[in-house]
Amino acid sequence: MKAIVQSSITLSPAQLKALALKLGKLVEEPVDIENQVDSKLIAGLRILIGSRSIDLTVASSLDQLKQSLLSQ
Amino acid sequence: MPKKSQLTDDIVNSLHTRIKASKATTAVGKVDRVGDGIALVSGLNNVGMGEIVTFSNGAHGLALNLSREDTGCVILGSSQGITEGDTVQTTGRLLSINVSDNYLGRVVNPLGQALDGQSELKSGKNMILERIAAGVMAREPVKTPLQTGIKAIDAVIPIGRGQRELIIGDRGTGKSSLALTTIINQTDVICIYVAIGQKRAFVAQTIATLEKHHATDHTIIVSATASDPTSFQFIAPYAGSAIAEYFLDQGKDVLIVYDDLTKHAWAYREISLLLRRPSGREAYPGDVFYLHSRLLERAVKLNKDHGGGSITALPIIETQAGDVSAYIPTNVISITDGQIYLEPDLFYSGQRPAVNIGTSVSRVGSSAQVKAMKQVAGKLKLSLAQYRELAAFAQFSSDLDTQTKTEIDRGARVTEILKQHWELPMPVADQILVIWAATNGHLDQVRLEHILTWEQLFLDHTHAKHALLIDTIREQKELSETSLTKLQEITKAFNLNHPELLINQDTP
Repeated sequence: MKAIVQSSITLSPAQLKALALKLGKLVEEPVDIENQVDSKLIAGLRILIGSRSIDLTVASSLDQLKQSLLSQ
Repeated sequence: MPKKSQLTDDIVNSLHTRIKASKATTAVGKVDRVGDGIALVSGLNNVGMGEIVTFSNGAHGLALNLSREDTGCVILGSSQGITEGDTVQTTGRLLSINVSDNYLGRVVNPLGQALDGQSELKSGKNMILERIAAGVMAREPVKTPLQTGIKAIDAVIPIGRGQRELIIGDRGTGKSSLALTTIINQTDVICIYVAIGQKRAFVAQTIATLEKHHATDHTIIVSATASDPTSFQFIAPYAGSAIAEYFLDQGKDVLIVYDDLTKHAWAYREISLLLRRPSGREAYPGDVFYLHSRLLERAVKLNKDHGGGSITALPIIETQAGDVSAYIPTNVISITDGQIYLEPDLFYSGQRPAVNIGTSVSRVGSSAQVKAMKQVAGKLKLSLAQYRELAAFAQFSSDLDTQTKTEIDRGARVTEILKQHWELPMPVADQILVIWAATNGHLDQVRLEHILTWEQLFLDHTHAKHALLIDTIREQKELSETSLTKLQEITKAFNLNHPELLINQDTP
């Protein structure tokens, strides 16, 4: 299965390998990772795998924080 | 300073919990097909019913059809800029509207965006659009009157706070006017007017009318006009309800007018057909009853333990050629606590408001009527019923006995006194005075064409010379023996002083 991992800096091969292992356990099949770099994410990772999106970036955390503060 | 760092820590902790609470994993899908305000999205696993989804261009959608293959979403807003292959994300949020006290006097769309070009709306509390109606234990029976200011309604078909009273009639019979008069007459009730599928010109005219009568400061208009997306017309009444519930939660009394639910059903039919749901009678989907029942169930009178607020609902239904047995009219009639039936024949014969007293009912409102009104309304209903029966009969015979003639004459005058200009609601004490006078024969000698002049002059006279009596009736809420005697004297003296309004006894 193919996975897209977006990050603010290029990930090292060792990091990608570790990620592929973790994701493989999650979807229960071997995972092939493509690394995309997007500085707008600030920090953290966004993983797109199958029809799932796992957003662990600081950019989206800040955005959600903004939303939750605005709706008070 | 330890105190300051403590505060900073608290803030940091609270921010942490909020970040943790937000969902990191979301489902992503791709747009397969888009058109007519509907998007079919594939791969959107784990999406919930009624969940908000975001398209890659920032537009929002509402997931309404879930199936193994794809998800049918209604696009909230314009579908321009959404193309096949766009990614769609779930948000884990339900449709909600952000409401604050700042809403009063404003015109908003169903998403809570200002349409009146005035300042930004202050953010307040997020209210879920499809909130489940209050439970059985939180409610209490309707007991406070909601004065519409319309004689025919307040006397014969009284409405209580927390009631659902349907206004039904053909186009152009004064349905919206009735609702607007009621809004104009309110002082301590917050009014919400939901325009669904109406012309923009009509909404503009409504705003102008409310401004003219200084009724905007307690009114909110939720507008989803005919040119707005169908999805807006579909969610507009729920948005109105959500705004009403914001004020209900503060223990306030709210009046909400849905103008009109026929067009709401049309909008839902359109969405359902485009989503390829099976259609039933008149091509409406199977759940069109639930569409309106869940909306009108949110009308409520809460008990003291739950704040004591109320939501009174006045849904409007437009019939085609007086056909009340069509699908949507019968549905809404069965859901509501009574209906006000407006007839074109009455309207064109000059009887305005064109309320058909015989077929209109209010199932719970009479327990909310003030005592003084009850005292005069009983007689009013009786003379109207007798009049209807005799008037049909009298058409065939020319010579009637005196009693029949008196009853017909009185009935004609009572019918005449129920006429009223639609922008002029009348205070309840004034209504009591004129209805009392009409039903007790004080108008029998007044010429039929002068009845409304008599009413105007009599009320002016009483307000100027006997304001104390009106205050007493308003405060006591009943007609005591002394008030009645006083009223009798005033009316008799008034008639003597105004012979020009009376039937000339010498030349009949």
